[in-house]
Amino acid sequence: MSGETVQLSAEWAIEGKQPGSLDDYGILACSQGQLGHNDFAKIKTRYTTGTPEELPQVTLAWVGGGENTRLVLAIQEWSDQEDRTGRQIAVTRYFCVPYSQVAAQPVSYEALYLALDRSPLPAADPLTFSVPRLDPAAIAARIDGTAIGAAALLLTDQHVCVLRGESLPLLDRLRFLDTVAALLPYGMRTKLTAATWTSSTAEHKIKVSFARHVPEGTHSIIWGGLARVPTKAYDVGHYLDLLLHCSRYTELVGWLAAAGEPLAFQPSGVTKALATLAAFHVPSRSGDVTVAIANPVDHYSVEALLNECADLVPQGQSLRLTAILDGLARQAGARGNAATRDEQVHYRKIIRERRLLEGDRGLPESLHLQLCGVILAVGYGPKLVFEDMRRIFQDFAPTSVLMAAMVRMPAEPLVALTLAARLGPETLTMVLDALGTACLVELAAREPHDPLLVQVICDELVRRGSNGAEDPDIAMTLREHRYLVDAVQALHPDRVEVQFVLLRKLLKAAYGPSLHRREFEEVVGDPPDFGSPPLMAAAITLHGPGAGEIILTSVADRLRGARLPHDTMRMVETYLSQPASAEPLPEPRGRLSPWARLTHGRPRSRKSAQTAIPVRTLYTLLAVFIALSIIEFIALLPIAQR
Amino acid sequence: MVSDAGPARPNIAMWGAPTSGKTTLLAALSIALLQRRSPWRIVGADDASTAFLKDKAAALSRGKEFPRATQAMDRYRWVLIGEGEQRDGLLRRRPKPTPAPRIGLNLLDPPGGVYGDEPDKFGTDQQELLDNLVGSKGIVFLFDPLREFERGDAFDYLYGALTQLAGRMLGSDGYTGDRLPHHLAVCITKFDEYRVLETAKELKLLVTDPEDPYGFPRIDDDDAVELFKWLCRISASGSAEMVLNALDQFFRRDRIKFFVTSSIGFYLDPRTNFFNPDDYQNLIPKPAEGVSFHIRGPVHPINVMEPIVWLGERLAGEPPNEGPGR
Amino acid sequence: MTESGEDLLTKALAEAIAQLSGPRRLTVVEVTVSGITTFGLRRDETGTPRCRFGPPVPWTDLAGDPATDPPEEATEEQVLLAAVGVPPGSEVFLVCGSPDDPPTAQVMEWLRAARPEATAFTRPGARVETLLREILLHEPLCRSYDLVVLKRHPETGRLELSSHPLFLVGARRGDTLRVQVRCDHGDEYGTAFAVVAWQGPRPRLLSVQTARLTPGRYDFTAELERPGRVRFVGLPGLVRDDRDWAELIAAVPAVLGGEVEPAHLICAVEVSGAAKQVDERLIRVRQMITVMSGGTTPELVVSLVAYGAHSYDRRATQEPVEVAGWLMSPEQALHSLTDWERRGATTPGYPYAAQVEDMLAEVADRLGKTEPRRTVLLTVGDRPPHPPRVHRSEILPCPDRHDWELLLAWIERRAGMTLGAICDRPPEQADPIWQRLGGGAPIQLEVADVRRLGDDLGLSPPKAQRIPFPLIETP
Repeated sequence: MSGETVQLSAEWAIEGKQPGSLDDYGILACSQGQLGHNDFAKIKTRYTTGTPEELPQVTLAWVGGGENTRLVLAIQEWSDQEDRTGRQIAVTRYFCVPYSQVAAQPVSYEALYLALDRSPLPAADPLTFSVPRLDPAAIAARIDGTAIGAAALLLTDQHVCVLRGESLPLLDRLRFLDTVAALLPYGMRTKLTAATWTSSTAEHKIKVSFARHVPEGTHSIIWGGLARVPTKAYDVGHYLDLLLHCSRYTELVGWLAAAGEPLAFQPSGVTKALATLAAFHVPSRSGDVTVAIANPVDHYSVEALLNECADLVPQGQSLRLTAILDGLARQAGARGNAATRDEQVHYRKIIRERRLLEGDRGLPESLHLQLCGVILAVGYGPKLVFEDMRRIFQDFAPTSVLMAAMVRMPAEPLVALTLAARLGPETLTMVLDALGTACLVELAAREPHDPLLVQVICDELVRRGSNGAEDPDIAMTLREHRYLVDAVQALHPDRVEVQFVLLRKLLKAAYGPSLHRREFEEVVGDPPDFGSPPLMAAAITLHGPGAGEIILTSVADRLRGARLPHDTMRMVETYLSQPASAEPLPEPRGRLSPWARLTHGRPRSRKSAQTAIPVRTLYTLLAVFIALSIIEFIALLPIAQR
Repeated sequence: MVSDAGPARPNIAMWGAPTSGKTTLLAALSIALLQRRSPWRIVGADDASTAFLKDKAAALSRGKEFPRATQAMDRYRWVLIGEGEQRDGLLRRRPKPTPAPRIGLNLLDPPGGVYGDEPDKFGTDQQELLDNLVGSKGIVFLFDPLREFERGDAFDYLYGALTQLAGRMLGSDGYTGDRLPHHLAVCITKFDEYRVLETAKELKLLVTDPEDPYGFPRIDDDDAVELFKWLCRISASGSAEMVLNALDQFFRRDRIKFFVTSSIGFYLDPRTNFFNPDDYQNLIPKPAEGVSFHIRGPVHPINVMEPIVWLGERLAGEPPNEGPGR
Repeated sequence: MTESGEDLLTKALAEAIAQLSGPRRLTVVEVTVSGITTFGLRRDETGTPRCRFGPPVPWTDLAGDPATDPPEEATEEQVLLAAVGVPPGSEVFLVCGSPDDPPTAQVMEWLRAARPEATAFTRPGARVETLLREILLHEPLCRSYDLVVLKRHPETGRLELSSHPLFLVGARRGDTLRVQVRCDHGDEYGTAFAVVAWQGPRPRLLSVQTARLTPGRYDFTAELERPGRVRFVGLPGLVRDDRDWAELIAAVPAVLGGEVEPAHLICAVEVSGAAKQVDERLIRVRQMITVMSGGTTPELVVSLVAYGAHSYDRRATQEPVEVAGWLMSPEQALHSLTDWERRGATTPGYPYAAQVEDMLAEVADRLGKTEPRRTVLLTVGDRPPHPPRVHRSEILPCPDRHDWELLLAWIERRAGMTLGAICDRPPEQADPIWQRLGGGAPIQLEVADVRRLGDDLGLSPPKAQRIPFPLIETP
């Protein structure tokens, strides 16, 4: 990846004040692009780092959203000029680079800085420049505990303040920020703010910065030290674990840099970030384990460590336990694909006997979580399968900590989802986000049906298909699995009206608010499949007028295909299409549809039963339809209200 | 690690045009308290605020440099600690110390431009400022006579934000008063400057405290408003007179107090160490360029702690922060 | 006609001309076939013989053709009338060039009869005009010719109007003399080269030619072209000057006779500020000293004072006013100036004012210790002085409380004092003190013409003292 250069453009502005002036700082000049003077004034206000002390400093930020997202790089330096009261004037150069230019070709902040620092302003409009593409190896070489800690803490969406590092050279601090950013999916840069310095007395909106003192309500991490992750933040803890237990950082940085989809520092974004990171750790299709292998494996040492663990837990020796777990985790990581099934069987025995996955061990929650995580990795890694999960729950109570630990380890989608469905919305969202639509539908269709899982998946499918989001996978995979009618039936046995509502929602998610003819045919089948009346009814109500004609046409086509005698067929066609009041005619009459009139509310023919519809199924259909149209009316009420 | 307390809301806000000396006044505060042998001491309530007291005061007195132009809403948390009285107990032989009075100062020091009338420039900040002003109970309003001579824009930097504040507070349903509830210390700054001192001299407002070892001229706080009125009259724009009217209209008269202040004070001849009416300017242009100034000699703040202590005392006697709902 | 006869006429004429003086006149009447020509000769006040004659009066104009129609009496009368120009008391020569022509002879007879005292010559073919021209051209001078010069009195140093002999009595055409003079700034006409002829104790102006010459020594030759005309060779740009003696004398100022003593030029230079400006100021000072010491001013004594900016920074050392030398020779001054030029601008210091008041204090102090003499204080700088106490200008007071107004007033009042100033800014932009420092006419640095400024300050001979004549060196 290194060696390539990326061509970029930037809008720019200069902030400062006139020498000898009595004024406040303001935008003195700016490019004449989409961002105007006022936009830059807002950028200046929003990303102020406080009254400068030592310069130069660099601030990294963002502006705009969607396609208009831009990365902001601000370089603040002293000018050789002073204002009226003899105060040296600081000049800030702002550069805004469209995120779209770097989303697919990631570049480092350092490279941006080095390129733009050389650009005196005012400059060309827009300023164009080229920077080398992000070099994962260079950044990976700088990864340390502080950077990992800061990256994880950033996911708390609170200010992270790096102490005792403000006297480092500017470039070192910038590189640190670059490293921190590189430990998050690249797309998070669309919401990341970072600065090589922030004032400790000023209010600012910078997420990670070097500072002299810790302002209130912020996380701090000492330069060269490790982060303390708040105990409640599972995701953050997990993220930290995953980062800490990786040793192939170059690949990791490359992996995260490729995740260019914009992400926010909000729970959903954090979940996605975690999923992205977790995805790096799961085995790839070829079976290679991406997770790092640190040390050679010692079968006996694992056994010894497990036993030591079991000894330490009741003693509550957290520190020692943490160390043991670290060792065990490394062994397990290495074990991953090296441990034989037999070995694991042996470990499981120890785990079972020493009650290593027991709940309520009087440990701090994060440590308990770590314990479960490591033990699971040793006994059931590298990937948790459904059968193992079932066995675990035979041996141990499904406590939330155990399940949380299980959901964090690489697992079959079924396992992950089964656990997540029971762990609450945040975990669930995280797991769901990592799963493709096809996979979800497959899981829902899987027998025996887990009603909770079906419900969760259906909700997710509905969510994915709502709000105008087009996911062609939904329709395709739903069709493959017969629109999950069986699963829905298992979810709500004997409640056809609820099945109808749910199926209708799924159809909407798959096809949008109404079904076109072809979509309708796709759903009802050709010939119409009356195996699931709720599905049929849902399809008809989503198609609206003309549904009957389609069904009739389909029926007629089917009959025609049966090679009946010509006269018979002619009669069939005539009667299929002719309303009851009309004179029986030997030849078919155009395209007049009784269904159309029916749904338009025209008076029904007095003797509809007399109409010669020789296909018995039609009667069934009609009856079902009339019944369901009433149900639908009732059922739709709450939908409309929602 | 996350620090424990959430950020406390400021109870005193600095208000004034750019370069009116808001931050300098704060920086001079600890010098003032040390030099005047005041009964009050000031300490920081957090590391950053302590650092400000220490560093900025040192820079002002030693480096002769003014604090840099404030570029963000700075907050300082300080505590004014008075002297506990040593009272002789009636029955006990040992004097019984009373607890020292403590006044928490939670100061907001925004860049002056935020009070200006360019909302585009300070869009979000002004809202934030107003939120803070609504929540604060004391305001230190700095009136810079020199800026007023040259620019005459004190009114511009007062009225816009003031009407918005009044709209927020007086206009809200829950509020019954006809004036803003804030205590207002109006500081006429830059007393050390020729034009200010000479004006005061012409108005015969100067007095000298016989106790003052330096013999600095002063203006009694009661006379300060006179000087203020006069200075308003000779403003460049003529709008300064409206400043007084606006203050009168929006604040309770019994909660306004005028102070004539100088953060750097007068120059003292090192040979005599006494005020010399022939040579007192303490602000001198920097060599060569002449567009900017620096401080000539040691800093002797005048009337700098008084407004803060006055506000502190007033606020200490007030019920806790209420905001517009009162 | 014989040669000796012609010589006789020439000799007689030459003698007669030599005898001319005062009101005496000589009239020569020439009678030829073409008519009567009357030549009137006299000496002018410079002793130069002058001859006036008109065209010959033809016979036809007098009496028609005397041969054909001679109304004798009328004609005689006409002829005598034609000779009416002959002033009374004039010596008369009658010259007949065509004795063989009867009417001519007749006329001659009439004239003789009318002027019996006249000397009559009959010389066929004689041309009186040519004869007279030759005589006048080669006549030896009867007066001595001198060049008007100024002479410095060896003791008093005063300049005196004098003359330098060019040609003595008896000198003849073609005589030459080499002359050495010094020329200084002339007046608006330049330097006048006036030749006078001495008539007893009174000089008579013979000729004036002027040239605008750069001051310096001139070595030229005076050549007597003819009596009454002296040509100068070796003086460029000479033009004729029509002024009369009185005008020339009027151009010689009365001061000429006054006392001339070496001027004292005090150059006070502001050496703080922009390096470029300081360099420029020092260049002007150098020019001023160079130009003003190259002239005729007997001596120039120079004092150099440099002043900069006060510093109000306690940590910085005060740079006092620097006196590079007091009452130095121009050469010494230029040498000292070199050091300053090498050093350039001093440390910046206070930017709004300079130590003008300290400089004035220093100058006043030193002047107070010496006798008054012709002194020029030339201040070259830009900034105003520091006030003695806190001031409306807000310029900080002088640390030593020097009061520039008092000092300047004292200096202004001092006898023989002239103030001049070269200010960086044009006068309308400069601080008002520069009006006073500049004696009411400060000059802007960029456009300063130091020669003119020196002239105005009386460093070069001022207008009243311009030298309209060459100076003759006295051993």
